[in-house]
Amino acid sequence: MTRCWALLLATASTLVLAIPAGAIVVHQAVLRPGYAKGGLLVVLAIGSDLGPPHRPSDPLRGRADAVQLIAVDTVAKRATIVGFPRDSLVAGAKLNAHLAAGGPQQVEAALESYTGIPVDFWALTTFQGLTNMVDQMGGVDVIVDQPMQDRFSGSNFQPGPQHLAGGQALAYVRDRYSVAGGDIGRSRHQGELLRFAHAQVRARQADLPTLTRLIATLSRNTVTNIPKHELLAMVVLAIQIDPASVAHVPLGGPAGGFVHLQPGPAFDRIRAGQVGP
Amino acid sequence: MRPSWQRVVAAALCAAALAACRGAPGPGAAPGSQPSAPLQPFRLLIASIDAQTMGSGAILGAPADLLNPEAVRIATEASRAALEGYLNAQFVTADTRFSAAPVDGLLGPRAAALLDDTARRGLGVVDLPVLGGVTRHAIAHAVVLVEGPAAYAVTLSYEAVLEVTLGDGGSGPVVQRGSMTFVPIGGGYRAEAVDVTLELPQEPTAAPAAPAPGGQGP
Repeated sequence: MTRCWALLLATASTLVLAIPAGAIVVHQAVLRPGYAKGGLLVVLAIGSDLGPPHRPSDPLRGRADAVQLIAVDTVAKRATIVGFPRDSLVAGAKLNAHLAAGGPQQVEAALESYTGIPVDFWALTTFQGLTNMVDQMGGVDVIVDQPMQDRFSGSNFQPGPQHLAGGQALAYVRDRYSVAGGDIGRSRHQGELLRFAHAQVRARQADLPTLTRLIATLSRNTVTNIPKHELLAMVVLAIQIDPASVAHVPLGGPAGGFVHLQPGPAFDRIRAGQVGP
Repeated sequence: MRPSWQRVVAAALCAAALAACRGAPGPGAAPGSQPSAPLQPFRLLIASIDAQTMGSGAILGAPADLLNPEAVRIATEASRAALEGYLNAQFVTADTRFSAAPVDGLLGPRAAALLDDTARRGLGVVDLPVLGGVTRHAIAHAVVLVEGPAAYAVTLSYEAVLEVTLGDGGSGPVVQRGSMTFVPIGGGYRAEAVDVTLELPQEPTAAPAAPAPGGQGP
């Protein structure tokens, strides 16, 4: 019996080797146009604290517990993610309160006024939306930078590489009690999650069907003013950016009732078109 | 020697392998056609459809977005027809095959702006002296993005195979496989992203450096 299979294998091997090398010529066409815009593309990512099923109210009128400004040089393929703690004093109020007062448009206007950086689009998600997105991309690999254990968010992580499912990723970005810096540390983790997710999608070298499904996942789990017909080009642009060309600038400053941001040169650099590390 | 089930399985495997090597005639292959006969058109079959809604009603507390089957059907058929039209014009129709004209009709403006000689060759703009042959199969899987009655994108992952006879007496398969993402543009569907490979039985005698007019058929 073993000899029978060995004979079959040998025959198959001979057939394969008998095919003349170079008999088939392979050409390749890869055309993946990314979103192109003169100057910077700036997208405001907002996480609302409302939305079903956890808190079944309109997430567009919740409080912005996560605010990350993503500035992309669409030509040089570089990006900077600026993290704003929710208690930041911006345009006369806590940043998170602008969402409840006037929706994503008011958060955008407040940040434009404060930073001097024009925002092109906003995208808002919820607890459930973030959970869905992470689950539908098969989880996300992160490097936890400190012990995290918090009964409010449900975080329970040891430092080091971790593979987070959707609910765990939500806990990772919500925890502000066991994280150094409190809300400022939480904002830093929110930006880190964006970086880890971006790096993972790019590393998987997704094919077009996978990217198409990713667009559906992002669209289903966000409310945004990005035109849907631009999503393909934006996702392609995102995966054209090397993670090493993404800078993360988590802002902080003296905290009391408000966080009085000390942005340093961060806004000036972005306004001058200098993004990335 | 008594016949054992292992020998029966081995024989079946060999038969299956031989059949796979020969390739089953596709829907476009005329029964009994010879390799040098005029190529018959492909009929691109959609083997599966993965329809995905883009609606975000669920996170807003609205009822879950239901897929609109008619929107899915129309978008899939329009993209299928666009790809089939390209495959036939690029590889089958004598007047246009291996010319640049079908590629011009296939691509949307963003993809067309990235077109270079390498991509043209991958899309079939090559100088291959085809006398005739047999079309085998063209089969695709679709991922369709819709929201309500509107469709935003259709990605077709496909394989199209034909066997050709060349002017120098050679012969072999021409195989294009990969994915294209079609979007609605100007009343039709155009490919806005392309990721395909093209296998040829021999190196083309020359690769056009610039878009060439149609009519390169033998």
